[in-house]
Amino acid sequence: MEETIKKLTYTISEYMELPKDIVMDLPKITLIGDIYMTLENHLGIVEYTETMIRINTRSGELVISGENLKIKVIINEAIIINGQISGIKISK
Amino acid sequence: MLIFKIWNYINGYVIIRIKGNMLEKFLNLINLEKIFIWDVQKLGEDIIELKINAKKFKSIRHIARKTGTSVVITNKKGFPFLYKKLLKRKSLLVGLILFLSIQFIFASIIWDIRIIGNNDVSTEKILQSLKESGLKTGVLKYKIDRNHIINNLILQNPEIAWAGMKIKGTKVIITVVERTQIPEIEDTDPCNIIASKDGIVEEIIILKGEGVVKKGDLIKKGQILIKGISGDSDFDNNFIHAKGTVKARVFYNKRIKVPLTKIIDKETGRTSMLIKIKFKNCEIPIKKVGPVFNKYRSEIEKKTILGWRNILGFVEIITEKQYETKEEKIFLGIEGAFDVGKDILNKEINEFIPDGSTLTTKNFGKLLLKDESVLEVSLTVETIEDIGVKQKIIQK
Repeated sequence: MEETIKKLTYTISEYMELPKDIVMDLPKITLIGDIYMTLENHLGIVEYTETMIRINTRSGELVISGENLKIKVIINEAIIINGQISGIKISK
Repeated sequence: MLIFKIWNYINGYVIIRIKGNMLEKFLNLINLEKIFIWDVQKLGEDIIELKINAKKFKSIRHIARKTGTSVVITNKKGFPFLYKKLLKRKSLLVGLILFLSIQFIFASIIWDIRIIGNNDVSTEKILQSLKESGLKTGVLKYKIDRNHIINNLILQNPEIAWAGMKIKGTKVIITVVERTQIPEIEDTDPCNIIASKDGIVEEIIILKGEGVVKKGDLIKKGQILIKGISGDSDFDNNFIHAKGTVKARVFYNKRIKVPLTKIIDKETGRTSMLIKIKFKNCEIPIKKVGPVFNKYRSEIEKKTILGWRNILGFVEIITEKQYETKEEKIFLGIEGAFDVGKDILNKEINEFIPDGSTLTTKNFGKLLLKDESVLEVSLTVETIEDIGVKQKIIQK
């Protein structure tokens, strides 16, 4: 059932050219160089260390690796991370 | 995010250190409570440091209890903490207030008066008259009455044509423009007497010089009336100072147009009221009672709020009573319009007749203009006045 709804919303948003982060409630990642990252629509932090941050999102678990990672701001809708980011991975 | 930093500084924030095993859960719970945290930093295996609003700090206690973490404040920053610190150091606070107040007082005193543009009038004289009207070094800046001082300066020194005042910090700059005086004709200088206006000579009395016109002559402006020449022309240097009075009949004419119909505003009896608050130059309507009129006559009543000691003297309540009026046309007729025109001209008569002249005759004329419903009323006035003006003879 959930799969069907997901497919339907995807098709509608594709057809009507609507932004998918809003329609399908998906995370939106903005990366500035390798030092600054904004993540909107998150579902909470799973793990936080200096070299790795794991954040739960609707697309799966987002793994950010790097050095000296700091959470600049954390609010309900967004997380801003800065530090030396070396990798972003989405693991289902 | 400078504004964000400033806002946090004003409200005050604390840097806290959290120790425990379930730090991620702690962060998520804070997030769920919609408490704003920033600058989260991992210090060790199980220690994180973060910043939080000082007032929100209390509300994270139960989260700490739930997750089994210990919370320690490492630093307090921001204005409220600074303020508390400052209150403890009383002498510093007193010194600060004293410093600011002394600076304010010294900045509001006039220390220097500078006068620019005076050549003939001495600076001391201007300073003296400024002193009399209340401007000297050591006077408070806010007590200076600009108009009064400038007016007094010009009144006391007739040589000054214009004066301006500028206050720059603690310095007053007074700019003065001096009058260039017309050289007066002295009694010994050779001169002619000429006509200052057109007219007909009525009377001529010659005390010195040679009369060129006689009674009944038509003269034009600028024409020589009495020549400054001595009787015998044998001398080379025979120009003299002419003396005498020439009285002439001078005519003045004035025309005005008076419409035959007159529009007057008649009150219909309907009224409404409007209450406004005036704050300096800004008027804000508060309440309106009654209908809105196209044309109305208004009666305004002003009241100041808290006029006591003039603290809020600039705030006024204005009650405006509006009486509705309606335009009504009245046909005057030729005679009526003529009377109206006569009244207007009689009032204006003094404006175009110079002082010192005697009015002899006054004639009104009327002329109905074609096409227009307008009557032209004219007034011709005849006066007798002294029209002789001295003019210096320039010898070549």
